[in-house]
Amino acid sequence: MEYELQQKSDVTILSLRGEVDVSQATVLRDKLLEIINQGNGRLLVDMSQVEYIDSSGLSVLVAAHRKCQGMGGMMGLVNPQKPVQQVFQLTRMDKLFNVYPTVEAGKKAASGS
Amino acid sequence: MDKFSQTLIIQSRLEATTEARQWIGQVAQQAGFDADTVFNIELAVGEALANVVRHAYQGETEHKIHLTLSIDDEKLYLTIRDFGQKFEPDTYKPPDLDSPTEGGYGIFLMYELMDEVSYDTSLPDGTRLKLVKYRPGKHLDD
Repeated sequence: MEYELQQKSDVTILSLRGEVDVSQATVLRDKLLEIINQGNGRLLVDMSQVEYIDSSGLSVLVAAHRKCQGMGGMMGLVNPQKPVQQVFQLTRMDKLFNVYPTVEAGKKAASGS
Repeated sequence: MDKFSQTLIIQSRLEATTEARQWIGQVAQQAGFDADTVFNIELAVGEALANVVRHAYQGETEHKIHLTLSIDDEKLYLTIRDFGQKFEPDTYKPPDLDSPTEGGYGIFLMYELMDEVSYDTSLPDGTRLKLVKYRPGKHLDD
């Protein structure tokens, strides 16, 4: 898994690439916690280049989502690809996360929250 | 196709489980399974191996996991043998999908994504997990 961080006005965008699996979950958890603990409570995780996610990756996203919400912020997911969407659907996480088709749509929603 | 069968022995490290999962995905793809099915097989295998490392071996990295992968015209058949703490399938409770939590989805996904999942806990030590995925039209439920 690789990642890239961008700050666009008051929205932080974490773009992930590759596989978000059990051996990468700790890296992702630490990065998300670092972002959120710095007070960046409006967060978009761009999933468009994520090829694989497992339950460990999913757990990290749920924990980060909850932490953002607890701090009065929001975390949205952007454009997960079909196999990743399927994992969200199977676990019904698609009901938990705000999912946006594009970064722009996510930014608009995040800025308005 | 000729029957494919190979045994792989890995150490109980999470990085090794990633490599094993990717290898099984590659073999399944080469054997003609479609991309969605390969993803599902990889996900189920990854969850199974992560459970072995985390629960059977409790995170200890110096133990062995034996994987035997067979693929023929009918199905992909994988056994995962560990020598750690036994898994008791009767104690498993599926997650409440109406109340999202931060864990507990691994075994659920395995059961959802594979056609057959069975645990053999009758061995003197450890557990043997069997995972089966049939080719389209080859399963009784198809």
